[in-house]
Amino acid sequence: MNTNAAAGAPDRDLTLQVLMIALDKAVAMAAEAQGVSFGELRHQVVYEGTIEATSQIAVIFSDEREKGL
Amino acid sequence: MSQLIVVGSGIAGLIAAYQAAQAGYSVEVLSKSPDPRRLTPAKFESSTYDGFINRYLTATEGHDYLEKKGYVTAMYPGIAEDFQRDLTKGGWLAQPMDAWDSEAQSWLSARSRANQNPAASEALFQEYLDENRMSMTLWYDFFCQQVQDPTLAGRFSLHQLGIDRFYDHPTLFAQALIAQQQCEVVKASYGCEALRSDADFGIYHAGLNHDNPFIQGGGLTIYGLAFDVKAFCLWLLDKLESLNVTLKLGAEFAITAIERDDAGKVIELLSAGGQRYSAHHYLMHPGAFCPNAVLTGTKADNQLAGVKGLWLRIKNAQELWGEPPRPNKIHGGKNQITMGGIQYPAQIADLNCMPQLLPDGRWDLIVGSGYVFIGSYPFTHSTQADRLALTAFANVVERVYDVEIDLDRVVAGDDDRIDLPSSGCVRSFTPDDRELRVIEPTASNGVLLIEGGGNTGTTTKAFFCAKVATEFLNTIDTSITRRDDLSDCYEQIRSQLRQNAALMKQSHWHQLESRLNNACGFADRPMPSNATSSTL
Repeated sequence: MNTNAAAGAPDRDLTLQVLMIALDKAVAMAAEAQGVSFGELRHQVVYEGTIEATSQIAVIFSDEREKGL
Repeated sequence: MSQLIVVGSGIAGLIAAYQAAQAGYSVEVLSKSPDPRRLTPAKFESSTYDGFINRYLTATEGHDYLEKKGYVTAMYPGIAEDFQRDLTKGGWLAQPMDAWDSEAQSWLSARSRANQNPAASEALFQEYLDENRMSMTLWYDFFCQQVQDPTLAGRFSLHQLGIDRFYDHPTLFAQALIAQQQCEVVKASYGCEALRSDADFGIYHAGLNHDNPFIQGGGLTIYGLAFDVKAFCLWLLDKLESLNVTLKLGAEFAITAIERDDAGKVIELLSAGGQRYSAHHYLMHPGAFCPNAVLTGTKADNQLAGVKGLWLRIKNAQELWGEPPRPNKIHGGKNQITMGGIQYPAQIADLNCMPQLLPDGRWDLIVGSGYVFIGSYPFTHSTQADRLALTAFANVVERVYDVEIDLDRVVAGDDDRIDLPSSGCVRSFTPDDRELRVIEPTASNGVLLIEGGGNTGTTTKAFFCAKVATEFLNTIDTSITRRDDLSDCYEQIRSQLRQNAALMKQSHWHQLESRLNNACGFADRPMPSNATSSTL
């Protein structure tokens, strides 16, 4: 069976893992700064897409993504 | 002699002609495309007329597909290699690399070089965002003025309540939300739970709840418009004639060459009908269907290639889903293709989805997708590439809408429920995805400006580019001394006009949308709060 990996293309799952790590780091830093729960903030960002929550982590996430990708 | 000749009657050429005529120029439009008001059906070699129904105007429309650190690369890893491999190997090329002619190979090499400079790609992406936002403001203003005629919003199928975007993965959804928030264009955001419980997204129930759901990320509504580009151009041609713009449309008006004097300055254009046309200025809008020979000798030489997209129509969709959905895009990374029992590597699986309202009030669902690089005009490629892209596309449509598609019957035209409403559409691409902006002096101290060619974002950016062009021509005409720095002058004007994009906050878009709602006679809507909203 042909796969993207076999054809030499970057693995999407790996790219997403890097992004997820950057996102989690940004959420952790924002949660600590605000004194809120990591799990709750992460759920708001990733599964609810809460605009306010994503605004809080936006800059940190961009920086972390730069480092990771 | 006209003051200005515009070459091309696609959306970009017509808006350039409109802006120039409004600014007081005497304008003549030359185009190889027939007059769409007089010929139906007609075969058009134009990306304005070969696509289907709606065009979207949003901040991120038509952005480049190049390697960079933004969400495009994360969504579609290996985007650079897509222009190095054919579809059977997971790329976009309709045939293997070594099967292309020297022109296409040269274009592909230039594309490969562009992909080796991610920093330039990042800057280009930001430029797109800024210019698209400036252009959207001009579009809103234009529609606010014009839809005072109460029939026009319906005639254009104008959708002014924002464009929905769905994402197949939660991380990409979060990243896209962050990126678009930074542009201040997000109206509302929905996690998958919110999407599942929102009646407005009932048509996506299967895509959200399937055993292997396609939409696992979430959705955004961003400020933007959608409209029927063909109906709009029909109206705009009448408008141009009322502004005394001369329209010369048809095969005999196809431009075949740019003539120059001994000093290399432009003196006239030659047409297929053997006529010579001269003007003080020339604005050329070559799309994917421009023969490269016309541009030989300019910096636009061999800069345009075509990527084909495909369309499926689910007929009588209202019988399946009731209310028509809002126009939207579904971003789906890459998905594997299974055809004839063989598995092929993945193809990008984005969908553009829109209802088409029929005269009797029912509606069809039109879905577009597909990425098939077909080289430069005139296009020749194997049908196997189209079939692979169509198969990949149909696989995703089945998962999103829970419909079964028998492609053999659909392609043969034997399916009562689903058909191919057109043979596809061809988007113009440049090697670095940036629109052409080539400037040459004319013998009469005017300029020849070649613009356009920027993927699907040309429609969004049409007003911005037309404004830049008009101000540029006016600057040239009012300069006391001859300007030798034409490209610098053009880029300065362009840069100045995009400077205000950073000032466009969410309230700016809300005000524009409210103005347009009022102009259309629709009730105004409350400003969305910064918190997630699923009720807009």
